[in-house]
Amino acid sequence: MTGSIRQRLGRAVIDWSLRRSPRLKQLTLSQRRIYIMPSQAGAVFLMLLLVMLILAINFQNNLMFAVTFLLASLFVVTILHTYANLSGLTIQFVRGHPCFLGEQAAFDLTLTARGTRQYESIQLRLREGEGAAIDLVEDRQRSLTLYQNTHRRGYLPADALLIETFYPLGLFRAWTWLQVDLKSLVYPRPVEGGQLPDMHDAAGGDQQSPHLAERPGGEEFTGLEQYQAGMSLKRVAWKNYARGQGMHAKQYVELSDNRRWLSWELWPELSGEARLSRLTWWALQLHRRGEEYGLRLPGIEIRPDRGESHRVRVLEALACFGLDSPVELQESRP
Amino acid sequence: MKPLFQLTRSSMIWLLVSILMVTAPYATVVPGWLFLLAVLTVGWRLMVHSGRWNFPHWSIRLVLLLLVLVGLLFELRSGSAMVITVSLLVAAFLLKLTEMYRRRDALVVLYVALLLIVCSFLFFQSIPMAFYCLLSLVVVTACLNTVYRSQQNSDIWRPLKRSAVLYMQALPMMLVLFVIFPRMGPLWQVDLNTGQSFTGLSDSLSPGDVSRLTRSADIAFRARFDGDLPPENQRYWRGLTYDRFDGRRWSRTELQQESQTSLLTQFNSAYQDYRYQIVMEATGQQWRYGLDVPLSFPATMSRLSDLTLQGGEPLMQRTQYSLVSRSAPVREPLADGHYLRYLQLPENGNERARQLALRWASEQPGVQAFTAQMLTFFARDFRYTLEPPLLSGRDSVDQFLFQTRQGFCGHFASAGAFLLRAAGIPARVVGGYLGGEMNPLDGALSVRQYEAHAWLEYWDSEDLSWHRLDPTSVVAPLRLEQSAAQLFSSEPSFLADSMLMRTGFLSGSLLKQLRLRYEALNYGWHRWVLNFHEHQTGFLRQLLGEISVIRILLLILVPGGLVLLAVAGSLFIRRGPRKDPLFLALQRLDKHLKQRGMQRLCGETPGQFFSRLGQVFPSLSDEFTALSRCYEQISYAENSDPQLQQQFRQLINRCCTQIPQS
Repeated sequence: MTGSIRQRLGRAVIDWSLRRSPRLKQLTLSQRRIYIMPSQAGAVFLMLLLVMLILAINFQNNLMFAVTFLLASLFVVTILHTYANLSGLTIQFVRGHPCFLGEQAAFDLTLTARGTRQYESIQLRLREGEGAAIDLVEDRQRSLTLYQNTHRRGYLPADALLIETFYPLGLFRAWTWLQVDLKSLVYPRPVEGGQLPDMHDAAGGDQQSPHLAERPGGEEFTGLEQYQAGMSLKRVAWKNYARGQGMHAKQYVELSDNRRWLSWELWPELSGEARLSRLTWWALQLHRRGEEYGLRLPGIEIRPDRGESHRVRVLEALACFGLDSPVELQESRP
Repeated sequence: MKPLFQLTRSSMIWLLVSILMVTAPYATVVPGWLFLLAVLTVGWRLMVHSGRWNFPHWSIRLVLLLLVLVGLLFELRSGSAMVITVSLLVAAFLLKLTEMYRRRDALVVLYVALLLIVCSFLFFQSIPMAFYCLLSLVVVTACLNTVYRSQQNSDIWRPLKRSAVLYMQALPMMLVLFVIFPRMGPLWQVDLNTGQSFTGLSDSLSPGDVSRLTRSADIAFRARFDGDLPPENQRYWRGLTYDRFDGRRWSRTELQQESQTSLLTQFNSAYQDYRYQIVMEATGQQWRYGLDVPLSFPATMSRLSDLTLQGGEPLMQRTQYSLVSRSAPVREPLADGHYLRYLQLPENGNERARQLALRWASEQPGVQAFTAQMLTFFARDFRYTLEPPLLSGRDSVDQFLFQTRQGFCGHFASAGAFLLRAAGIPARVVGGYLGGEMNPLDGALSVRQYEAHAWLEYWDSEDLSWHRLDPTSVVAPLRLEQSAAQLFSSEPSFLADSMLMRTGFLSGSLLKQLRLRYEALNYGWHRWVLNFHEHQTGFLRQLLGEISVIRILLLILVPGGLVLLAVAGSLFIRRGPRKDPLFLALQRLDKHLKQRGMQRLCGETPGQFFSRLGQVFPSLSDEFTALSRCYEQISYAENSDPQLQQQFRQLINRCCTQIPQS
């Protein structure tokens, strides 16, 4: 019971402080946003001071008084230090990375120190996400990525951001809640299954001449690409390497006709979300094979194409299909 | 989900250091076997740290805990409660080492460490100890700091610096709090017995007791006089009187508190009054030292009917009190009970001494004549020595008076009192100190254990007064004139327990200076720090003129506020590089144009900006072209000619004045 009241109270406080914080791309923490209170450890410390004071009074021991007062002064001085460990910190919200449903959405932030000030042990956490800690001692600027769980596809605005610090002695907690002006696009969860019918059947009489698509892993040599760790050593162009031209891998492709349509109508037995999941999986498959593919959803048609930007377009369409005006979300910035 | 904060390795090192530092002073206080526990747990922890061992199984920890508890229960039978409590803290502290891996554990340990630091002042209060504790505090705080640092940051000295800075900033406020915090009496009675043993007089006096004290150069108390000092041969510091004699040993019976008024009226104001403060070392006894007749004394003390002072309870820690004494014989119409008490002697024994006393009394009646006779007797063939022959027989007084004839002050006082009583003159033995070394640096008189002394007082029925009689003064008149140190320096047993003083090492002129300086420092420490509560009111009055709420608030707020401001300043004032004057000038123009909505656009280079402005204000196009060229010269050609910069600023100023405000 008390737990739930506490939770509700906590949530109300967070909401209140969020209302005071506008959505911005970049902001600097100042006394308007930083809250500071003794932490749990600080409360215990105060009780300890009380015990010491009682000891000092009872034993009439002036050195005990001195230490008690020294620690009490330390407590007060720490307020400033803890506060200073947040104030002047500039936070830039850089970008949100798209992800698939079930994965964690990633958001990039950059923290910048003010002047020559040093910041230590700053903890950042999205409301429902996991925490990260960061120091700004030698560097003036650092980037970090925070993660947040995804529960549904579509555009996902970042949760409120908690920035807190207990530094230097853990006696105080300085914190702030910020609205994060970032969002991530959550693609449907890719689910394997079904068969993709031959393109001509699915396309329903597309009369264009068959396109030749390049599939990697064939026998036709097309060129060299930069060698990356993990590539098969068999593909390394050793001759070039021996000439001192760097490590390259030979690229082979298989030429075939592979234009395909991914269509909403393919698996009528599935529910809408399941269809989107399967289409996503297939889109990824086809992209990986380097085939050309198009997408047909009710009201949306994307011409067959290939490449990264095409993939993003297709996935975005799948992610936003059927959701209310994703565009509006996109431009909710003031 | 809350992250589980693991302790970093650097903070583990700091933790071990703090634990060692905090427990080290307790080595002499807590039972010795706790040392084994310390070795075991610290060693185990080090093995864990180096990755060789695992944390002990819970059963081992339980067994250790039980062993410690049983051990402490055994100690409870002998040791004082305070020592046991502190031992328990230390043991818990050490045991916690074996199960410390999270932040929470470290916090528990560090908070207990703070408590232990405070508690160590129950046992030690010297200046070096205070500095040691301050150092421990800094280390423990540094450790607390490492607990809240991330792993990424591994500079091991940084926390120490941070902690030292924090303490420097905290110090001024601590001083203010220390000065103004009202000192009140204890909230409840506490047992101050720390199980220490004390050097000093005890409540019974056997032959040889006092001479044993000459082996020690410990300070018994220090006195500082406001005004005149008593002459050297009058510095008799009374502690207690012994009124019961059992044939060998003098002891004291419980005395009643003296009612003040009956005495005071009888004093003659012709005698000198002395006003002084005493800082008395712990004795574990109830009596307090003072000169002659204390007229005024703190309310916590009482004056007994023998005019000695008594504190409320045994003195377990150094204390300080102010006295006013008058050096006068004490008039007291001895009531029947008292009369008999001061005549008490064992039924029989020491027959020769009794006969001698009766012979003297019959030869020349009168108290004065008797004492004169006695002093002549002592002066004639008695010798004053630190190492008198042992008095083993049943009739110790006879043995001393007629056989050995060598003794220390205790022997003479004891025998003298016996003779007086045997002759029907009420008498008592007084225990205390005689003398004191003046420290010219702070004007305080240090009285040491080797200045312990015993003398006697007799009651004269003619003037109804108690008189002091010191047989030592006739046997060894030098004892009153010289310091005990000079007098005894040739005796082998003198200062046998204080070799440095004994060899005269500390009496060479330079070293003596140093020693006196150190003692003066110590005196100041005792007076102003350890016993600050005695001076607080006076000090505040001196500081503030009068003590009022507003003045005290000012005393807190002004320095406190100033210090916090200074700290805040050092923390928050931007210490970034100075801004480029070019940039500042550009900003000025930008601000000027902003009112007209023509400020520099996002992404616009200064060159583009100037050329745009040149189009908007054709009259200033020359200036803007010049500005543009100037800017390019400075920023891109890296021409650092100050004239160019000045020209740029002038051009900007001209533009600002030419373009009218909207």
